[in-house]
Amino acid sequence: MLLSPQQFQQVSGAVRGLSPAQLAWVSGYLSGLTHQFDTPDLLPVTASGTLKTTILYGSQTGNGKKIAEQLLARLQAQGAGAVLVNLKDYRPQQLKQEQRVVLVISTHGNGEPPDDARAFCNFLQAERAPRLDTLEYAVLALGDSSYEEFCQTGLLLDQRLAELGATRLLERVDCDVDFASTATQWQQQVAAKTPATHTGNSIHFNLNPLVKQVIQASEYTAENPFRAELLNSIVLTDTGSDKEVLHLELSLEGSGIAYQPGDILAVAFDNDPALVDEILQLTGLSGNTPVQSNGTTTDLYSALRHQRELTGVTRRQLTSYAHLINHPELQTAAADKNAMQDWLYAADWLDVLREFSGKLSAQQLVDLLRPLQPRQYSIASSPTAHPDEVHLLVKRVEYTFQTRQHCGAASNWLARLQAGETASVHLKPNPHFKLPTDPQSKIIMIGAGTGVAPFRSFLFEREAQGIRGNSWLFFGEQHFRTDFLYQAEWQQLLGNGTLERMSVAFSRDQAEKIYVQQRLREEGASVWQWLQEGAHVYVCGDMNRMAKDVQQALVDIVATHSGRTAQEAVEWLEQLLAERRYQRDVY
Amino acid sequence: MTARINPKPRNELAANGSAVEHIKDRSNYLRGNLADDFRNPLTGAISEDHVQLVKFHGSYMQDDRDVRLQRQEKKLEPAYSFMIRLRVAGGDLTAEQWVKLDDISNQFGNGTSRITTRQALQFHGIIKFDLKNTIQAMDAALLDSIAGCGDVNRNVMCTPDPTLSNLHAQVFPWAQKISDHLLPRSRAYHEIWLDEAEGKMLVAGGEAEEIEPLYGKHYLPRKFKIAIAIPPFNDMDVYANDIGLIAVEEDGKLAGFNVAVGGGLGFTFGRDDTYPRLASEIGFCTPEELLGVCFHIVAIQRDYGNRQDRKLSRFKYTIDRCGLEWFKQELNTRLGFVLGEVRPFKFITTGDRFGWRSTTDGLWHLGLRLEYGRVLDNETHRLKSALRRIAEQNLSGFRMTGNQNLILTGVREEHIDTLESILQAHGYAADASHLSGLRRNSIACVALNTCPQAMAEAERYLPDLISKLEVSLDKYGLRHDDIKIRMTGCPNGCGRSVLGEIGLIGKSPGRYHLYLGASFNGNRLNTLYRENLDETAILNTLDALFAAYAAQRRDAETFGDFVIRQGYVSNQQAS
Repeated sequence: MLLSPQQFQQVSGAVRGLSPAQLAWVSGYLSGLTHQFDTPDLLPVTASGTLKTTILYGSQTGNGKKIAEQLLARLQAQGAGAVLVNLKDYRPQQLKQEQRVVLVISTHGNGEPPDDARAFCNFLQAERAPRLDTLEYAVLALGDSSYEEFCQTGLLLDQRLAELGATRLLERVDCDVDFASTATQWQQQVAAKTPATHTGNSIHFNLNPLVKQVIQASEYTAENPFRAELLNSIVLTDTGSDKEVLHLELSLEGSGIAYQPGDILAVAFDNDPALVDEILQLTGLSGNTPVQSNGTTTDLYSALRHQRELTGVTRRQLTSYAHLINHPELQTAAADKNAMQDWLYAADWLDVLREFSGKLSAQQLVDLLRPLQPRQYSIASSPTAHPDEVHLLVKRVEYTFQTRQHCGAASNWLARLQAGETASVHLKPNPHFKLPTDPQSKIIMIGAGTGVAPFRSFLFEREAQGIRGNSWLFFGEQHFRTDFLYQAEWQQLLGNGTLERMSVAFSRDQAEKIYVQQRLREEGASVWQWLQEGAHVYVCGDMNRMAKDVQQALVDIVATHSGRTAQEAVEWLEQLLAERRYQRDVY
Repeated sequence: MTARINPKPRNELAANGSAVEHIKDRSNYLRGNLADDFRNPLTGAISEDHVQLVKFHGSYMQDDRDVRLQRQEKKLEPAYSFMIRLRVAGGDLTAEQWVKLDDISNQFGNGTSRITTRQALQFHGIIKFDLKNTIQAMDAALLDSIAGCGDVNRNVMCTPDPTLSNLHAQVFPWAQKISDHLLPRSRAYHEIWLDEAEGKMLVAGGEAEEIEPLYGKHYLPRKFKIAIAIPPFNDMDVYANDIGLIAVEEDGKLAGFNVAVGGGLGFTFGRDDTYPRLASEIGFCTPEELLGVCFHIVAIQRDYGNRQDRKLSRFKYTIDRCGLEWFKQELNTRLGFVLGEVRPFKFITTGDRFGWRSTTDGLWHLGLRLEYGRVLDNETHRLKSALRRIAEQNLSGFRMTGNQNLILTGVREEHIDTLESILQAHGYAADASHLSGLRRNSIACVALNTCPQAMAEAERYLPDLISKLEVSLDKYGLRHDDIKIRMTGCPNGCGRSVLGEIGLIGKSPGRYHLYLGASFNGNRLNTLYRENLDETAILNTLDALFAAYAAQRRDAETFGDFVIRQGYVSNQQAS
């Protein structure tokens, strides 16, 4: 896009929070502006005045870093716009937006890239690598000619960038172990090709993507979802973990979906075909039987696969079913609120139909089942730090019940989704889970497991906005070694000061189980101090287990440190809720 | 000659001192802020300062390099863990200690323990939050890891085999005496790990000398190694040490020690100013003089060693820079007497002897070959369980050799069968005679996946490589010939690969430089023969050499001597 990230931030900031009607007005306004500039004569020229050079380095020994830093200093000295980024911290998707990239890259062993550059190299070498027709680049390759594959990484990247349509600013330069003078000459050549920055602001309005986005922003719903392409899917938990937690990156490019930190993404999914087949087999019903579902006529197989919930069973459904098949014992059991609670928690419709078999028509079965609803996930990305993308943190649900493997329908559907395939999504704004309007306000974030997702969004947003400190994250999971979700990112955010404090509880790393609420209590005095200083408190995670215990811990902390009674402490927290300083996203 | 009996440590930061010198300088005698850093729950790592300091406490921070990239993709930090190395002078452990150490490896380590090439025992895979518990468990076994690593005198080695010579009993205790004499005195270890009350904090001037009378505030420029050998056996590879001591027997008694100085094997690829060097024999001292001689040699290195460039800071470079003659003068001056003339002796081998032998007191000792010192249970044997059983029944002492093997010492004759049947029941052969001469004489360092220095495999690969080489050995009838092969994942020399008749030093994954021509008795380094060989090239190259050796060797000519006589490589014998 031709807006700089800052400009895009300004524009998207200006329209954030507007109602659909207001957005429609703004879109008309912008469209009008577009017309004003829509003749070639009036087009402002994008001059080299706004040229930004991104210097990327990947280096195992630090030599590459040193050369890159020298180049940065050289460019800055002549007033050119340049930034320096370690490839480890660089999101390769960003290449599309770059004007000019200068790469300093080393090669190790038998032609291996440095560890920090692996993800970058893999991204570029992939078949799906984007076209980079507007990119200019230069490569300085570092190597050791005593190895056979001398400077191999630099060579491959140089070739690949050209293949992807990027233009060589300079021929690649290969450096041996005595690199100093070669590297200096190369720095001079890059500098000679880099003009100083002038402060002009020019926007190609006829290519401004915002216009399209604003028009479409309000259109996506459950009925009319956006088909978001899966860019990347990573299992965050490591070998040996008792669970599998996925990090998914979906593309919002072209959707115009503008979310805010704290918002929720709803994702549609289909039932596992194996489960549908088993239900058909068990009931003896034919998948071809026509049925009425969601107000239309379809066949039973399609209804079960795409339109009806199969993995969750409610007591109400069980009661209806018991009546339908005339099963007095089940009727009695279903009427008792406690009798089948645990069973219902774990069972799916295959269990119901197997354990309490009875005669049922295809239409009766469909009518019993609830319509399939998109699942909602707290967004884990920041619109500013991860433009055109939305990230989700998903625990894959899988357990054994009645000797049969049960799989959560949505999480397993998402786990099966391959990069390049799409998911049907729409945005669910979550106005009651929002960062404070005052960027200086303190925030205390409490999240266990996947409940940490919105806090990743919060913190990356604050980082992108240049807000440092005044933030405290409490995180809990089972094991330090395998389950510390986003560990490296938290360390980076702590390192640059975006995150001021972090307290962690790993429940199963010691004999006695330790949860976040215990850490909260241990830090009670500081927590109370932060609350006194106006801190906003956010809790995200499991409603039944974690949120209740955290609430109790907060009550105790308030009571202990303010001298209030328990009842007064509860009221004090109620007041905090009313003021929106205590926000919860529990499920 | 003016005697300067004991020049004090200077306690001043060296001009242009390296980063590590600065870290030592601000560490308050190895304390730093280690205790707090080890409690930080957000990372399994510790800070760069502490990575350096914790070495002095016997531990290295490492990470599992096999999973480094996988974890990076998962947005997890590397799988950090700690290796901790015990200080065990002469490698001598009781059965009771062995049981406790076995518990440590199971409870806190990765389920294995490893005998090093310097008679120490180390554990891998200890996570940061368990290191203190580990050290406390070691303390309960009356063991510690002080000076296990770091810029100090390391574990003192001594020929461990009691059956080698009737001199042994007189010599062996000197390892412990030297170790005690040169031990750092800071209480940092006791305060941080054993919760001893804080003693003297950082103090100025004179008092500092009380804290570390030998080392001072900045300790040595680099690690320092001492070993004692009893001729004709050079199983300690004494010439690889900063101080090599060679016991001299006269009239059935220990007359004293020949002293050799300035050995060190490590070098750095691409740095021509680094090189392996064998220790030079400089004289002889009596047992009474020994501690003073060691102390002053260490103190000279403390005062004159290079503190600017750690690649050049080993004692060998100090000696070559200042000159051996200068060094002798300086030492004699500090001692206040002149070392005696080197007494005659002869080394025949650097190898260990395997199988049962007895001493005159009627006790039996079993030389047990271990594969590169690794004590573990695997698909083929359950050595670890067997040794534990032997220790639990108190059937023997446990003495670690410098070749990564173990001697089960002091076995009563009536227990021999029991001990053998335990080994047998766990699938382990008490004797190594079924192994090829090449395998019996092999050493490999740890390398991947835990050693951060390694550029290629060693311990995990050498057994397979030897199996492939044995095909050639069989072809030429060499299976039972003693040929010394050593493999390391880098040129730092933990596996003493530059003293192998065949030396393989890792250059990159799957590629090795091949060195040839060290002597069998450890007094001659090998020479680079071929570079960057992959497995096929190694096998082909050695196959041709073995063929030539079988056909053209003279009498009992060793492989190392043969390749020099035939001109494959030139002679690197120290003149």
